Amino acid sequence: MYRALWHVLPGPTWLKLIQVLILIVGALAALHFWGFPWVQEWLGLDEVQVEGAAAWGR
Amino acid sequence: MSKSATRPRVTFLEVIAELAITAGVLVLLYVAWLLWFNDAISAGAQREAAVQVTTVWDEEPPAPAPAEPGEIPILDDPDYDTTFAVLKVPRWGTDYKVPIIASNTTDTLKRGIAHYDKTQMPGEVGNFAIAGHRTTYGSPFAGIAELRLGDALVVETKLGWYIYRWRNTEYVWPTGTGVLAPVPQNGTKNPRGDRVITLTSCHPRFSAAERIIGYGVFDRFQPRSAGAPAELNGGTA
Repeated sequence: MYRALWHVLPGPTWLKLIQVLILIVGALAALHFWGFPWVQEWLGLDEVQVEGAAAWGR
Repeated sequence: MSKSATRPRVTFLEVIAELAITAGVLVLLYVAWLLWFNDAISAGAQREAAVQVTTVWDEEPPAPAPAEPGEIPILDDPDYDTTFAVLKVPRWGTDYKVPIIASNTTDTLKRGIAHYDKTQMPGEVGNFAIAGHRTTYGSPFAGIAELRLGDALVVETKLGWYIYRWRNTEYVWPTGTGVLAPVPQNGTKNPRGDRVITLTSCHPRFSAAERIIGYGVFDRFQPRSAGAPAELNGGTA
């Protein structure tokens, strides 16, 4: 899979390396901004509120 | 294209193996992100936001001191989603400062501490109830179980500093909204005029099974014109 990807990338080895780096950074950024927050919310590891707060009015 | 002739054959086993390795790396990355990377980024952003808002308050002409000594001014209802207060807890470090925001959503909790908007304001008779993360997104309530009797919980607003004293901890189910009552767990009747602060967070850590509740009782108000209270300068008065 990754071997094929390496093969598909154009240019000499140094150019391929730069492209791979860009791809990795892009993937990490996507994970940080969208992927992991979504997983975090889905897992619900850290629910901190008591529910039904509307029960107590002023 | 002649190039495709030299393209290596991708085998089924290779794809499965690489997918498995990728999945493993993703899980490790997620854990590292959750525990350190994002936690540290969020904590930094929250501290910066807190510094920003207190700097604005410092530069504004201070609100006139209350006419009667001992009178406790109460903030007007803040606009939705604005930072109207900053929590400072010396027990959690002299540098600890986290914005308290006038909305209570999942997104709010990523940016700081959320105020239960149906509960009272700082210093008001009744209950000033706030929620914060214990383990992720900056973990503002990470040390909630380490508070000791009498520890200062300082709520800074543009009017001044409301100083509460930590009293006790309680553990409730996620549905335990009694902790938000003007007299926690005791309804709306408040003949003594108690003023309390309620902190809610998750329990056990990294779980949504229960909630840990921290209570403090109101000690005093210090107007902005009198300068920061001794608690924030290493004193204990």
